[in-house]
Amino acid sequence: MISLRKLLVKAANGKILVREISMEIDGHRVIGVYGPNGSGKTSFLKAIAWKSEGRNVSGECWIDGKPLFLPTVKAATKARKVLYLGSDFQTPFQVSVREVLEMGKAANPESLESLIGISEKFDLTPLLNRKFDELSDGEKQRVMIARGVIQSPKWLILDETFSKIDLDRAFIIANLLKDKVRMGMGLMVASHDLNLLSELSDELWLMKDGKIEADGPVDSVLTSENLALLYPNRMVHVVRSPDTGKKKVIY
Amino acid sequence: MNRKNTLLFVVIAILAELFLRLDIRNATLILTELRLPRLVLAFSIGSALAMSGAVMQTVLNNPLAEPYTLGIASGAALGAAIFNSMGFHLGVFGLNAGAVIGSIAVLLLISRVILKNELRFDSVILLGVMLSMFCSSLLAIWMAIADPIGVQTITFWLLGDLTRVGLKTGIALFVVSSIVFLYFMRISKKLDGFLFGESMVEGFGVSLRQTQTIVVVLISVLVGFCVSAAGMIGFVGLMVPHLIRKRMGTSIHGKILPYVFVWGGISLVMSDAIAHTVSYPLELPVGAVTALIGAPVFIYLFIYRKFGRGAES
Repeated sequence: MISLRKLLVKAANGKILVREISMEIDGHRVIGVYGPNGSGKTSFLKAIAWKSEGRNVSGECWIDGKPLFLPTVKAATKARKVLYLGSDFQTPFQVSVREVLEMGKAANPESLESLIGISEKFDLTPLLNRKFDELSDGEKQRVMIARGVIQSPKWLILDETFSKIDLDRAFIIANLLKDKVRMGMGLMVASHDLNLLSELSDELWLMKDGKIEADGPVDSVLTSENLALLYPNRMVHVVRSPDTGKKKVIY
Repeated sequence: MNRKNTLLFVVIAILAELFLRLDIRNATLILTELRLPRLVLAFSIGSALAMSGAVMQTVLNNPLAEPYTLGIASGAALGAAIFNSMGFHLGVFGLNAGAVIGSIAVLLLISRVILKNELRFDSVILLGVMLSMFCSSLLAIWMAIADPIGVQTITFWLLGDLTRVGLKTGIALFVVSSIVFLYFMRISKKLDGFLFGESMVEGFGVSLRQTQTIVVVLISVLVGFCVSAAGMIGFVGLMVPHLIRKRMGTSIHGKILPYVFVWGGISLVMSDAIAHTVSYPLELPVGAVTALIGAPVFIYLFIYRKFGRGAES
């Protein structure tokens, strides 16, 4: 359970990025976060993981009844509570995929996930001895999501981490993540792919101008009326997939 | 890169440093009074600089970081020069307290700017290069004005010289740098957390500013000692870590640091052996030798072996 109290994020120049969001976020389900560029998704998700990076963050963020932002909370403890992953992973240094996954394990020695098992599931076994910087962007994202699962934080926040993963693998990884969520991990996913979010998420949050415009089960939130709130000048239709029965958008 | 050939090169470097062009008549005297102290000092400084370079590169997530590109060494040289010409000789084992003060002053300046403005890592390097140039020109001006016969001294600071201090200093430096090495090995997993850049550090459970501060303070004290003992010796801190990473195909600190440490020592001992034998009985400045060999090797690797672009050689 994450409790946010008046979470307010301002940019260095004073622009408000997230407007005093207060809410309780329950685990055990996948939360999809969607919004136009500049709607504050990344600032919001980073603030939950308490990564300020030059922004001005105020308010409170409690995870499982404990505040996350106190200076006394050790980085090692934080990394077990919440892990934020973006979309772009670069290193100027040589490091193998296996070593990256081992680093995930080292960040949380209590994790029960095994490196070999997760690499199998994520189809990473052929890449284990490759250098991370030689991989394609999509492969890098797969490695980092796998590392997140190996690290097994209480909450995993994936901010566009699916952006370059192919359709088939995105589905496979989505299902693996859902299994983890059933076992107790909290998961928040921000993506510009509403069709993927509708498959992956139980709940959908629509953000605009630093506020959450609509939130609730995907079926009730993903409607053309709600999308018209985000994009007043464009007609977006919502239909159901004949295959999975989930809602899809076409435009 | 394995234990066997590393050990082999340690032996070769020691033999070369001690026995090349050895004058048989005064062999014992030359060995104990001249060559042994140089050997110990060269190894200590080489290993300290290479280790500092390796750790700095990851902690600032910039392959160009080393004590020299951050201006720490120039600050140390300036501090030492000022202290020397003012007649202060504070310090232990012939080391100059001015150098340590100079390097810490530069460091404080850099870290103040970083903390105040939340600078990104790459801007830190830019800042360091500027500071380095600024200190070097101050050093030149100080030497010209305050120390008329300082031309020789300034050459010593700018090009490096391993003959100015004795065996005791070499041993003391070795002890200090070994302690720092053991500490870095102890926190090697934390250092690994820096491999993917600033934004990922805390996700690996590593405290960004705290680790960065400890590492940079330790390194500037160490570099302050090195510069005060032997002047500025560039390239070892830049080249050795890159070569080791390339050869071993990894950047995980627990694996590379021992090799970086030993090969840093080997490379400076070898360079010094070359410096005092090629134009015997004249000596070349050792800093000139490391740059003379280091720069072409580095450029060759960079251009022809797709070095730094991630491809295997």
